[in-house]
Amino acid sequence: MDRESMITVENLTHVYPNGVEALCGVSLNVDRGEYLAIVGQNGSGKTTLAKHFNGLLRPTQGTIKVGGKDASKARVSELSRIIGYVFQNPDDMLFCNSVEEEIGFGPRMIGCSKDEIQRRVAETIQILGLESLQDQHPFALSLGDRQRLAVACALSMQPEVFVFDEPTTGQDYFGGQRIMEIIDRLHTSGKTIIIITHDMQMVAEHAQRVVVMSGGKIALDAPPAKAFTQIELLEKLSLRPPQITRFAFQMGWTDRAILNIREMCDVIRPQGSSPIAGNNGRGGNHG
Amino acid sequence: MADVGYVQKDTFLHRLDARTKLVLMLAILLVVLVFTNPFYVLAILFLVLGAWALAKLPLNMVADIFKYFTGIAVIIFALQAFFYPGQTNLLRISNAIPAIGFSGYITVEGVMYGLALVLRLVVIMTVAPLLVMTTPMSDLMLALVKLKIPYRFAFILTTAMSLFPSIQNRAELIQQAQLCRGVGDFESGNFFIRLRASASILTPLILGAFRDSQILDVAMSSRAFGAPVQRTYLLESHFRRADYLFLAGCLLSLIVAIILRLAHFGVV
Repeated sequence: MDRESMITVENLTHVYPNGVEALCGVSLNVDRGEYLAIVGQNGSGKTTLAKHFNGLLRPTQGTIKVGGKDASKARVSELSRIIGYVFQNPDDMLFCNSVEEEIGFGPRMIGCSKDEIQRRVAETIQILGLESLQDQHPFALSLGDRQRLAVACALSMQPEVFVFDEPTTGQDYFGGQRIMEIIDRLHTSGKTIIIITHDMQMVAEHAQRVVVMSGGKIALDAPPAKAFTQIELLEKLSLRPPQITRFAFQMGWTDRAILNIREMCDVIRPQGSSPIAGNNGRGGNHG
Repeated sequence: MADVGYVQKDTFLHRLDARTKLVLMLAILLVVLVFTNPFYVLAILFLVLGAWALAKLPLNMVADIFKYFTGIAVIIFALQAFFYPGQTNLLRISNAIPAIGFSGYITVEGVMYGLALVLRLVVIMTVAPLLVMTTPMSDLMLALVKLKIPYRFAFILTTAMSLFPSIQNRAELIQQAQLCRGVGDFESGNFFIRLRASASILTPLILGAFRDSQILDVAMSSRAFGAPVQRTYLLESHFRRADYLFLAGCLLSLIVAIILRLAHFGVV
């Protein structure tokens, strides 16, 4: 498949009304189907950048194109058909009386027909496995389920790109895994994924590209296997690669970062011996 | 609207004791209520804006205040201009309509009084940030307690004030979330569209506020709020010479203003 640009940011600067310069001259291109993680300290400009993708914030300077549209001028409701934004706190999104109504709200707002709304709601419920909850009141759900519902609300808008702001924060390990599985599946189905996060483990295991932000600029932009070799730079920015990556680095295997247990096994296992049973490299190596 | 919380800076006004600033605020409010001549009120407004500049508060916030206030100001002004029982006719509108108390004329006194009322409200709105934006909430609370206001009331007052910016931030975040879900225009001219849009903000906002207040309740209880003992304070506030001088100046101005008023100055 040809590379097709989804989001093109050029020389983007954003100054908040109180005078804080949150972004200073950011340029970034995101192709269709990429799986991108934006990481950085608090206040580094991650969320500010992401909120430009769907017009929630407007550039002070610079240009931004989303799916061919000029995102510095297009209305948010228009851009919401291209970019689905899942907020960190699901309670900021939810207000309807049932899960079903909640999921159908977005499509109704963008003027889908009754049949189309029903079709989208049914499809979304099926994809996210919300069947048993569909008549429940959103506020009666657990945090994990509310988070899934927030994803459902974005999904029913059928956007091309999903932006997830800290999708696993405040969730236990399995809750986080469950969300990440959903995100992986969206990516497999051809969607472009952008995740804003602090969780380096999650970046190592899921993302295909890491954009490290610092002080409103992009400090590093590379695939995780390459980005995580820059341990000194990352630690200077208060970012810590996964333990197994740091271990490999300490051992002096520095040409390529090791991202998970499977890769570590491949390095240390003597050639030709049998694989260690039952470990596929995912999940067991957090910390 | 811009944030109205405390902004840390090092200016004369920031260094004054919170009690002094409280008195300053009350003095200005009283003086402004004493005079009905818009030129007097205007002079006081300039004084307040001078204090804004002195405290290095963002002057573009004044523009914000004006913007939000224009609609109400026009209504207040029009009501006074039409219905104030003045003597000097300025403009004939129609025949007298006694049923609604309209004399048929717009009078000079009405226009002046309307202007004064509007300017008074502007002063009232611009004077509050002089205290709130130059004083940390903890100092303000301490000042109220030192003025012998019961701790509970002081707590309620300062909590309400500090809650305001946080609710504002949250409302903004929720509005963004709803925009992402395709809620059209929060500033649409159509009242019903706006009403429906605001429901999508108010529901999460109010539910969130309930949730927050429960957390606040636990936090207060765990810090023994309302325990029947004489509590002590981490911070202490002390009057300095500038405070005494400033306080004396405020009281003197207040007395002069009242004497002027009794001598019929500054009245329409």
